[in-house]
Amino acid sequence: MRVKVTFLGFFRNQVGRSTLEVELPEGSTYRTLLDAIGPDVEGKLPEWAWDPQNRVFTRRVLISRNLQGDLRDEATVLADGDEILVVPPLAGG
Amino acid sequence: MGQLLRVDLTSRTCKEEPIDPETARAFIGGVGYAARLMNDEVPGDTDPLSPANKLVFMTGPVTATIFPTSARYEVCTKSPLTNMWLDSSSAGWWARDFKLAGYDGLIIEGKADTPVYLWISDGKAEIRDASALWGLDSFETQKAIRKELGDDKIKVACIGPSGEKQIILACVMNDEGRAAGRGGAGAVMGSKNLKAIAVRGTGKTPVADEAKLREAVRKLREVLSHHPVVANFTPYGTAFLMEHGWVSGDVPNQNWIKGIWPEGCEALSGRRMAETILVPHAACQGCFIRCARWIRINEGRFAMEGPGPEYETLAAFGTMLMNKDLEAVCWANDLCNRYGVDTISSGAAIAFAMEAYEKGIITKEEAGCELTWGNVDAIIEMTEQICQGRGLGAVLGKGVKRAAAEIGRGSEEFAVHVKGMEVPYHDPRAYFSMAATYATGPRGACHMHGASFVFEQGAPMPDTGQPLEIDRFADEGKGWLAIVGQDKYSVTGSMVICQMASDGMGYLDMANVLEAITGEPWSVERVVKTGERITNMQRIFSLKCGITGADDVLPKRLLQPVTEGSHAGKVPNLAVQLAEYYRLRGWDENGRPTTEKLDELGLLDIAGEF
Repeated sequence: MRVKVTFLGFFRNQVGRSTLEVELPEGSTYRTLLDAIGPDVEGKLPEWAWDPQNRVFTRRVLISRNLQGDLRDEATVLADGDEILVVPPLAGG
Repeated sequence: MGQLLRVDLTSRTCKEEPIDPETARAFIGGVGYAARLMNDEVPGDTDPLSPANKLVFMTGPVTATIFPTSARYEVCTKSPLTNMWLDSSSAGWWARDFKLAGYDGLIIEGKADTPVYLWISDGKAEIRDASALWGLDSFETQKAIRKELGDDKIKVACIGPSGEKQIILACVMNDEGRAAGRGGAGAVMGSKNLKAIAVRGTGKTPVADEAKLREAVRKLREVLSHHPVVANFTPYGTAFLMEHGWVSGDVPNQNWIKGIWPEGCEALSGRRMAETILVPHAACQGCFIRCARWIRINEGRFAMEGPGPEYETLAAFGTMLMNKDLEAVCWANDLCNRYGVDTISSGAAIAFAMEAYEKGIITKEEAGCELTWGNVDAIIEMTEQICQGRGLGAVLGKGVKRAAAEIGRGSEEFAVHVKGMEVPYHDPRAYFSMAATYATGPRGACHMHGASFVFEQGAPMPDTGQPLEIDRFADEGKGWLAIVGQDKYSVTGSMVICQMASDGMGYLDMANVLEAITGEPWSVERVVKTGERITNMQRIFSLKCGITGADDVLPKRLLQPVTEGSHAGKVPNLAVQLAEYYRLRGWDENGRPTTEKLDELGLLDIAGEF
């Protein structure tokens, strides 16, 4: 199946592209996705955003799956066509 | 300790008086000092637009030092918009010259019988005729005063034509489109026939320990250069939020009806601005963050060059009105800068009117235009009407609370304000702590007195022991989070530094800066307690003005869920948050500080006053 990961805000600059199209086996979880995109983000995103030890986005980063709540549970099973948004912290006004 | 300048416009007298050292120790300066002063000198039942109200311009101990972002001032008064406490902050250059002219604060009393302006220069103050300035916009006023006084280095804080007309959304403007925007301080200034305050200072701010301050500044620069959010203000300004704030639902659309509007946010983002109309320009005095925008539109009906919009203004004239024309937003922003009107409240008032129009409550004849969502012509027309106090704009310029009361026919249901202050553009249905923050905000709905939403999505917290992981849709703990945000801002506004800088500072950093400048011992505990004291002082003044716990509410619209976006179906439980907030504040069930709390804060002397 195919999952699209979109980096928003300055993450787009840091990763060097706005989207990653990731091929995953059917029934893959969020954990599988994190392992798949690790090489694309490690060393590019700062460690306050991507935890290289645990290969996971930190709590400072908002992850949204198809704009349905926040994605945190690594056991979440993904589906073909999912769009995962990776969102930096907010501030200002 | 420094000194204050007290100006009685009725008698046209100016006199200096020393800063009260005990008040300064307890309240630092800025909003804290002014809150105590207003409480002691202005009765709660004072008409905000009468000569009996006072207008207090305050700097802080940090102003005009080497500390970056410290060229700020606070304007404090009883608000004509909310009829209670108001502090409103502005940056630029004015505050530095005012402080270096020899004053920490300026107290304006009474009312001049004809238009005047103040000229303050290195320890001298003079009240001058402003009849030739009356009617000029904020940029023209600055230029005319510099020409009259023959010095291009003079800095000017002033009102535009809207302040002269006492339109209660009017602000105090200074320098290049900087505004003490919220709550109607410009109308108070206009009610006193005070057009402007021109300043020039060449003195020096005393610093007890220069080396310690230099080290604090070095550390701040280091922290902010790697800060998760502040580092982004330089390339994209506060508008960087627009690019991704819609995902969480933080950015409101269509008078808070529509959950998300990605294409609108993209068109109005800081990145889009940087790629199209942004041009290099100077930052606020001494600031390395450089969030201020300067834009140039080369052609078309909105061709202009000048200060560009920040996030709140982009939401106000953009997403709230379903308008994705960035250049039109820039034009509306420029109108507000020139007339001297708050962009946040003006955009909210137009959004309210557009919804009323859609529902058939307002007609085309009443509006003078077709007030349909996204209609650029109507947005510009209504902005001009508000600024000029004519047509439907004369009603909207009173704020949405009063406008709804005048228009009636059910429009109160979608007038989005707290205590009369239009809600700024961070949605409490996306970050629940903003419910308590808005409901209890010292000046009404406010994102400056506690931008608690930033803590809910992982911006660094102050050194409170607070865990990083916060569920943005939980109600528990959000009363506490609102308190942390409000009290930290009370210190920021009393040191009178920029919130951007304080985002990179813990309480220990604040203590170190205060200790370096004042030479007094400051600890984390003292900073925390001082913040709490200041927030309570503001509350006490508002209680004297007549507010009660029953006013600590959210508008209905913000308690109705949206149907799209990651926050769809979510609504904060304000009752849960408020109960926690009051309990942790040490306030009774009516939102009043208890005697025990006053004793703890050293405020027992005013226990019987509210």
